[in-house]
Amino acid sequence: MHGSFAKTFKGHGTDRALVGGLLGMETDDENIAKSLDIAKAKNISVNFVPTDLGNVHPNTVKAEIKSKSGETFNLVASSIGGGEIKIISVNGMHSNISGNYNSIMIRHLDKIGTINKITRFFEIENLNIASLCNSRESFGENAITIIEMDGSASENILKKISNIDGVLSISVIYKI
Amino acid sequence: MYNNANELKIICKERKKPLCVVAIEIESEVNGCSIDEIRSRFKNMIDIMRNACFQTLNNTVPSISGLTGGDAKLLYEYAQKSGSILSGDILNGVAYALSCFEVNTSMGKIVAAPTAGSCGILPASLLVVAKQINASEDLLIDAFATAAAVGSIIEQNATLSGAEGGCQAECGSASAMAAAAVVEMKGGSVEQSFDAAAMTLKNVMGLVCDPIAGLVEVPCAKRNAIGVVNALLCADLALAGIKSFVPFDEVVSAMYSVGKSIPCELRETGIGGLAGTPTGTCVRKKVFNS
Repeated sequence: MHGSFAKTFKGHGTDRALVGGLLGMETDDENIAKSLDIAKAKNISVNFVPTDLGNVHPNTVKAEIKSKSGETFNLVASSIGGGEIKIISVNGMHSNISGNYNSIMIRHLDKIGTINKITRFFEIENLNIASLCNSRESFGENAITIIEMDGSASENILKKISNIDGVLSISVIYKI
Repeated sequence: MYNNANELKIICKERKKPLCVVAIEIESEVNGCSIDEIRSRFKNMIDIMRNACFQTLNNTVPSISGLTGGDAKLLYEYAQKSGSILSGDILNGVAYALSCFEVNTSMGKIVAAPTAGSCGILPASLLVVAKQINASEDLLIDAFATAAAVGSIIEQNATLSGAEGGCQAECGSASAMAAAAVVEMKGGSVEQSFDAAAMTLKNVMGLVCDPIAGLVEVPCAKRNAIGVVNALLCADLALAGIKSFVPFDEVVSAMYSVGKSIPCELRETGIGGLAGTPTGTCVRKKVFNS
């Protein structure tokens, strides 16, 4: 928890809201108030650690998520007011997810032509890209491409993209 | 799409339509959903707002921390008697805002308008005027759209976050949204809506965000109370023909600059201002043992 979050997350219920979100609750779910207990009952352990994430929005959190099998995942997101959020980094790589559009996040290897192969399927499916953000760890290593779109991605396009050489995984992020 | 009030005013003039209609049309164009869909989404939010505004008028609901609660009921009872200084209508409105706020502090369902910490101002202001003019549900939805447009302009050009811009950015913006909306409900012009919005922001310019123990309770509830009066007063000023000397877009930009120069102790960190008083620090210790 960074900045104002670090100082006020308990009083503002930020802890409950974040855990509610991780549990898949919608923003108008009245169970958010009980989310910490619900997580506990599901054997999910949560720790809130005040920290300094540098020059980011004062309401910023870095979520470090570890599955039972030991897989890890992290993201940095800011609550910018007016019900709006921004996910500014995923696994240490720059991102631009606003939640205003249906989006897909593709984890892939940094290889020449990958973005071209991905976007070609958007053209074939007549799906318009609202924004595209690509970032990588280093040359030839893990990369991430986040695409915000008008409309939504069909099962078909997701399957085709996942079959592209070098694509590691795809996550769908629904519009808020 | 519009980036500021000036552009929105021009679109209203070009389309020869009121603010609310243009706001909904543009919302529909940008999001690719129908006008009916948007109106029904707004209607859902108005229903949630209305419930919250009436929920604690007749019963005391303590906040999660146990520190506050019961003020909406006190004021609502007082407003029904004769002898208050402000009119009963206005005080009822303030009681609606307090009720909405108490629903928030007890972790009930509210609409962030634009934020949870300022959630009482817009619904309470709309409901006061709706009652006065016996407004239809459609007129309320129109007013909601105008408020949303004003909020979106502030968001695009400044901030709605107390952590970034202080309370002026939260309760100030909520009042500006409410003022513009009620001016339109009362038949005011686009210019008058933005004059009212500009004046409300000017009235609280520099207002800090200093929540005790970091809880969104003290002084936030009372800033929602003054927020309603600020919105309704500025709406009346604008409807009387009084103009804002500085145009809305410039006021928004000034609010942002002021917000950025507020030290972080006074931007939702629960350190300075009222949070730093002996009472504030004592409450923090009591609530969080820290």
